[in-house]
Amino acid sequence: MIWMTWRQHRREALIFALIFAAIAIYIVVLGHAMYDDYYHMTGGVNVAQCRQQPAELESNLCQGLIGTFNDKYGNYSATTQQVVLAIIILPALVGMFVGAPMVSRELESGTFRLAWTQSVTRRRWLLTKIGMLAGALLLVVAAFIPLIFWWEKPFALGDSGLGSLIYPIEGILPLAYMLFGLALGFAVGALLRRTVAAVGVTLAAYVATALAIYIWARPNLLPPISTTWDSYLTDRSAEVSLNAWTLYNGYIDRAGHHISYGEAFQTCAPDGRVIDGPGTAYAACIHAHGWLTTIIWQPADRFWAFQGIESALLAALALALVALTLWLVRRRIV
Amino acid sequence: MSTADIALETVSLGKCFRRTWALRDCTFSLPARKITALVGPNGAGKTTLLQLAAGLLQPTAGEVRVFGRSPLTHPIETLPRLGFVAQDHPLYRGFTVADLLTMGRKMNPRWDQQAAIARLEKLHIPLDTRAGKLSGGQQAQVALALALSKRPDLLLLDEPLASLDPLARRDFLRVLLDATMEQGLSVMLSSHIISDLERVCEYLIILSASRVQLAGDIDEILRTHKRLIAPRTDPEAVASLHNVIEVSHTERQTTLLVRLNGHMFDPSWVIQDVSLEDIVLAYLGQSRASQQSAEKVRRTDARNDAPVALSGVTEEEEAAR
Repeated sequence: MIWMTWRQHRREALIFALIFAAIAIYIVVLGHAMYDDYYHMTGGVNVAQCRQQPAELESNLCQGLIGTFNDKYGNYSATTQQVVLAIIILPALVGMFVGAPMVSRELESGTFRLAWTQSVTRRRWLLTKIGMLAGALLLVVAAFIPLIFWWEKPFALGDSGLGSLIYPIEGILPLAYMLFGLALGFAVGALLRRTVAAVGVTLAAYVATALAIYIWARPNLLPPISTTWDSYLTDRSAEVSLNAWTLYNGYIDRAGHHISYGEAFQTCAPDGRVIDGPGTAYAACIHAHGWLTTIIWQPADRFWAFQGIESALLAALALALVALTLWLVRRRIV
Repeated sequence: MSTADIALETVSLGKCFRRTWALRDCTFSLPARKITALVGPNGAGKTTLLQLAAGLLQPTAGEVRVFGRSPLTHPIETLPRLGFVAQDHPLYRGFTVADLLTMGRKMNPRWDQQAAIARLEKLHIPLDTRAGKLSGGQQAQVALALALSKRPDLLLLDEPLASLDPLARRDFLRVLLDATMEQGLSVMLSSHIISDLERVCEYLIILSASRVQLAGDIDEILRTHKRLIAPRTDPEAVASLHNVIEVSHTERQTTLLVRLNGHMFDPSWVIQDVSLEDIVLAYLGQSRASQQSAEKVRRTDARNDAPVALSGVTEEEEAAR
């Protein structure tokens, strides 16, 4: 079965090896250029020093340097978006072109009648293939974990966190998404039995799941912290830890309804001049309406907890999809 | 027959595809070390029966056992003993013939690589050609070589002769016959023509309208089936003692095809031997007639259509159940 798996999937293996290599090379080249800029001395100081010495953060020179650097390489730069996009669509591509065809192609071409009447049971046929494909992919993706951390280190410092663009490609999440994408392809292929349909549905289901996790699941993987205060009397904003993932920042009324800063400004500072803080006229107006400042947030130190929970969730989904595939192949097909 | 002598056994086997029964009430025992012909018209359920036996389909009703075990629930025991070639003899088109042999070697513990290579060399099929580039007949030969080299105990072949030319057919049937005698191989092969198979097959199953019409040893079928001819008469007296399969009247005479239960003493009938082909045709005609009458009457009692049991299941065995 090991030889058979290699013989049947070697072309896909080669293509995906090239894709992975291209992405890795791109990150390395980009990272080198970035580190050159990071350590490049301008006016006796460089970005690395600016970042490490908080006192100098205040200087105009440092602010200018960091601003330019972040525009070019930072979280919202075009290059970062390219890298993130390339890595987050990989599991979908693997699911579509490795996972989905595995069973459906055998069914479409009738070769399952050849494959499943050899001496190897369907269970072993399926589990060997899944094991080898998943194993190879996990090994390759695991090699990206340190690469990503190396690459993001210069710019991710002040802006890393659970809500950031690069979060899904950090840490162990790429492994979990890869497993999920592959397993999704297997199950959809076995369910639909048509390769073309399975490829399309795999993509749609992957995108839907990833979006659902991003919108609904991730913010609530652990109960968020809600910090609320009356801004006329006090200011508790310092309690919100540095680099926290802010889920909500605004006012709530006594009934618990959200009031955005925009609405509050229109009501309490119609001239557009806002001077907030305990004792100010603006805060008094807010106080008079009974509105409380509220920040709902996830602390940055939950990074690994969140990684673990989301990965476990995806791994459990992947396992369920593999079990479904196994059941379909052994009991339901034809 | 003891269990060791039964290669394939079905008990009330049935398969339903979306409310249509492709196979119903199928009960027979296939003797080991013999070649069995499975004959019937297109759509009779031959492919369904073979795929059920190969473990590629899940029975809707009843049981199928290969050497005493279900191929679906005991694949580890049965798969190495089973060889199967589907009707369209599927191969991985991108694999070279050598790749396919490697596949056979890696996936089968009893694989005979030398025999496989020798067989393909004899057929002048180059090992370095991709399967998709071979002709239809060559693809069939490669698929058959793969199944044979697996060294199964039971070989299930769905229309194996359809893609072969007459010379290749004769050669292939000889290979099968040798394997049954030398290695104790059991074979069941389907066909809608019987003439090719009469020389090599020892056992016959007639399948029609999703049901087994006749299952038995061919010598015994020939011995017990006779054509009776008499001046035009009502065959009721014969029908009370023997199974009348086919009745035809001309103005002057009545011709019957019957399965005799014991001896025929009535001197008013002339008794003739019948060819296997005529017997098959008579059963197929009978099943068609009974199917039509069944549709008219909407019979609910399925037992009326139960297959005629011959040596495969003896009367005693049937009574023992």
